[in-house]
Amino acid sequence: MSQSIQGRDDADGLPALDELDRSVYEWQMWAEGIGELGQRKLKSASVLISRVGGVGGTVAFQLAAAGVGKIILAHAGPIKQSDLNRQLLMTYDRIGQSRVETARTRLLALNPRLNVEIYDENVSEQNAEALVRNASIVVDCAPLFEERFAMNRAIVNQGKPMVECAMYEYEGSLTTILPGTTACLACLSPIAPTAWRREFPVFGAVAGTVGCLAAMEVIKLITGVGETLSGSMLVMDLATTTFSRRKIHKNQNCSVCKDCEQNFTD
Amino acid sequence: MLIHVRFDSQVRRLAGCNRISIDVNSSTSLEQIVQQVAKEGTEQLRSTLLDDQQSLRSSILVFLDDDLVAKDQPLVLREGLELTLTTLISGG
Ligand SMILES: [Zn+2]
Repeated sequence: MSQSIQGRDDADGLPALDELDRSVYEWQMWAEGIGELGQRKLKSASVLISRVGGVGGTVAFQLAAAGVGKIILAHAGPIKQSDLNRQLLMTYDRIGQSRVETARTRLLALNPRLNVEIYDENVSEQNAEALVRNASIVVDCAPLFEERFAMNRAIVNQGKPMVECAMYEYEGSLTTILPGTTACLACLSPIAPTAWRREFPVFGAVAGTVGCLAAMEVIKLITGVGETLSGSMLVMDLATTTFSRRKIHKNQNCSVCKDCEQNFTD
Repeated sequence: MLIHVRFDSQVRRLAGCNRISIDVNSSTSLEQIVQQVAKEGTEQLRSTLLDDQQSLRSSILVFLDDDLVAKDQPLVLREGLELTLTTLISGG
């Protein structure tokens, strides 16, 4: 294969791997369906992660380890003591300092060649479109439905896939939204559940489990390996170690995605 | 006939149990089933499941044997059927 001077392959536009890439990712390139092409797809990808808490921080860490080229992080505010039971990118010595700055430092310690773009703000109706524009895939890990609905609207408008993942107490849920093809978040619930509260019971191991599964959804979306959770929702109860995969459907009257005609080949 | 209604996530917390069984007939609608469930529970459970007009809230997800049910979808009820009532969660 011929290489351009920017390290891009002339034929497919994906970045080339260098010797360090081949050395670091050697063992995962042995996985069926990955190889050099899959690793180049990962290197080419840019993933937006909404919040770097217990779930999102784990997603970011796993994707940084897997060799995703660019990670965009959005999360407002400084680290608090009560973050430290689950937000594994945060450290005790940085309490009071920026979460996204700390996350970037931790991710670069693992993968110094990762391109990390940070925003010290949470997703909102005002910034969602701009944040999504710079990403090829979105991972939604926000604790407020307002943020999730804003992100959902933006990914539907821009036709970008989103891994929608969440946890509560010992439970987790996960689906992959392909606008125009699968149910969007508003298809499932056009309004926030009345019982939801900003502060919720959480163990780091539950959030981290959901985060690892979400990272695998992203890896599958990027590389085309396996089968994503598009069209279904994985629901897990880690108190009883029970997993179920439920079918979900588009709502034909959904105010967000009913006119969306994007089709994915996933 | 007896059907089973399972609760997940926050609905389970409010219901205080994993599952109840209720007696229905073949013409009972989904909304009537949820109204019957709500009668058995606390005011907080009722207001989570139903709005002030006693209509099923759009934030409630209903699964029939792990398949999402549209709120206006007529149900074919049978003895022993299991519905799950839940909501989306948002913890991150
Ligand atoms: Zn929709």
